[in-house]
Amino acid sequence: MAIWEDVVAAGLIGTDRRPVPQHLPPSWGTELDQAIDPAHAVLSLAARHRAVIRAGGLPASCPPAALGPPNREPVASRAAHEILDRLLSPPQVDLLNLWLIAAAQHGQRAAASYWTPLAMVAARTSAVDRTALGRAIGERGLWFVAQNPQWTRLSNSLQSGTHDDLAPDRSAPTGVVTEDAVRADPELIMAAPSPWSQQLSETVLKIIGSGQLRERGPRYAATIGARLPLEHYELVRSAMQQDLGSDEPLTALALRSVREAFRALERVAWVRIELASAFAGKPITVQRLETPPW
Amino acid sequence: MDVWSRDRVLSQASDRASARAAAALAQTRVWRDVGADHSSIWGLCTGGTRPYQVVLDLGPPAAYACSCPSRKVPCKHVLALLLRWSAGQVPPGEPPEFASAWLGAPAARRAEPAPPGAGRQTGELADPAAAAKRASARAERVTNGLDELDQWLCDQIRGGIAGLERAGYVHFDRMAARMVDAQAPGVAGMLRSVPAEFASSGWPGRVLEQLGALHLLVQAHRALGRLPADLAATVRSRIGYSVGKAEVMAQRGVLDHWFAVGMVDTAEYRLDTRRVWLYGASSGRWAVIMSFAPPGGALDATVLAGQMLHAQLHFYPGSGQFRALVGEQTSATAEPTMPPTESFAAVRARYAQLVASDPWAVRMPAVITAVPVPGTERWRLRAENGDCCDIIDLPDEPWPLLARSAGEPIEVFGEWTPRGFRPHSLLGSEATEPFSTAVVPRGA
Repeated sequence: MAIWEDVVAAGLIGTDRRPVPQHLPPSWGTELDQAIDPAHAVLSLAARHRAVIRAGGLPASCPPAALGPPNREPVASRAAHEILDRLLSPPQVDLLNLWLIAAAQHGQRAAASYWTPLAMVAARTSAVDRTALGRAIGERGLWFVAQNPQWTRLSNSLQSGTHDDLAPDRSAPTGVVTEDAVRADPELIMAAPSPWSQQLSETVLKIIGSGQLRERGPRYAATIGARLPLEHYELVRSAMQQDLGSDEPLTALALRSVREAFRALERVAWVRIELASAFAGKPITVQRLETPPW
Repeated sequence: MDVWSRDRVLSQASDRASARAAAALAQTRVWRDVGADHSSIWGLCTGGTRPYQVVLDLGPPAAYACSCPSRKVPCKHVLALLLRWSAGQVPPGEPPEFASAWLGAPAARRAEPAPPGAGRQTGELADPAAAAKRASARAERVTNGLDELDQWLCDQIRGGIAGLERAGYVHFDRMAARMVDAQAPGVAGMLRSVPAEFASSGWPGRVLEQLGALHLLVQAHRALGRLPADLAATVRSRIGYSVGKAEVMAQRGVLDHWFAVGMVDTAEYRLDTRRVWLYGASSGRWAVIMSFAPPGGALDATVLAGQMLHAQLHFYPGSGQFRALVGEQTSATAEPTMPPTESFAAVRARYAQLVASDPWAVRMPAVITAVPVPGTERWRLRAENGDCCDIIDLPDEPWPLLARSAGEPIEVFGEWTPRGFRPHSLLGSEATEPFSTAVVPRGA
């Protein structure tokens, strides 16, 4: 390449001040016409060099990359990933956690294509269940997250959370909860053993429909949606209808809040039904409630 | 008005079938009320339930109208009437009402689309003489512009390119603007890409190579008449001579199940560009569908990555040409056929062939099997034999590639360039690790 360096030097300094190489080695093809303008000679040689480098350059080499551990867990179904797609765009962290927990409970994992968006969401908010995420991406996914220096904190929290129990088990119920107790303190339902009795489900749905929770209603309802026994999903329909036909009319503000709450509850419960079906590989047997035209 | 020759009439046909049908129709007895004056021809073509009204204004520019519902432009009735006129079978006369109404309308109104179901097609006929005159004028402008460019290139080399990095974009933009004036937009684009080289070390060699490529293009243009037709078409394309869609569609189509393997949108100097790369299952051929829009404008979304297409593709003329237009499509369906993967050596050999066909080529589609290797400065793709190349031009780090790979080889489709490889998609047919265009984090 000594000739090329000479050509570059001539082009850099200018052919008015520096001569062009007179004789070319055979690898450069035919000799240049000596009568040619030196500037033309440099441009012609540059064109030749460009073609040679592009057509005949040697490949670079580099050391091998680190190898991750193998995937051990079976990958979740396409149906489950279609739900995951929906929950990621845009990210809905509460529902995403349901997906991760369901995957972990079924011993299945998210496909590798989803590890990057999942890690990005988890790196942004601590609301993503670390334990469930770690299980849902598996050992190989944990290795992957550890490769990105920007995810170091996330990686550390995932590694330390892999031996923890999953979220629903951590809040294990502590005792018997009666309908009267829930009516007195709606939050007590969270301490009721799963699955709740139909009476308990009806009680919490009535509480939501009464509007007594005011602005706390939608948040409470979403939490109920995450715990409501799925066989009680149909109860939501009648609860919604009761709301429409309420004897004691609610204020416009309270009515809006109640409807928002039912929507939140139904949305979460339906995702759970979809997840149960997708992870078990069984069809959905219930019909989704048609949201009234509120 | 000179009577057109039979060849000139037939050269207006959109395809051979139209020409054959028109020649046959011209000889039949279906014509009534046929006539011509110094600038127009008219006639009724009977044979159906209602006669078709055919009118021609011989211009310039020559224009026509026919009440038939044909999609051929021009239809066989227009061509047949012209053939009769060419053969001296149209008597002189005064235009009847159906003809004079259209002939008397302003040009703009004539061009208005007919109401749906009206079954009227209008258009202009090519004027070879005027077209040749325009082409000649353009060639002269391009020649003068390229002469000026060559002089400018030599001036840079005589004075030396040291210091050009300080002159920056303006220095090259000025000459690029001159090339746009000279109707050589391709050359302008090449000039505008030069300053990007100043950003990294070793720029003098790379800038010199770019200037050398421009010089080679000037030389090739001067020798255009002596080059093989394919190479001449490539030179014209690189300079920026436009090729009409009709001309491209007239090229023989390649019928295949085409899979859109990947796509990329780029913003290049006041123009958004989309490249959609297709691979033909039977032909094993690569093609690229390009669309352009002003900044922020909508790019063509007819074919997007991941879609299958059973269609005739018509390739632009030129050696080493991938660009094509989508012609006739059918509803035939097939599972996507993924393009075969190649070793780095095979890709390089194919690129060498491309450079031989088109010395100004800047990219080539390829599928390689390699392991992504993260790096703080740059990411690379490494083949099992240790060969590697840089990953280039991505808007973010390609973490999804590493997620799929985890240190094992994966099949990646992208554009091979002398600077490195620009990944566009991950190949795969498994239900859970499928074909994916997410090579960088979403939203990047």
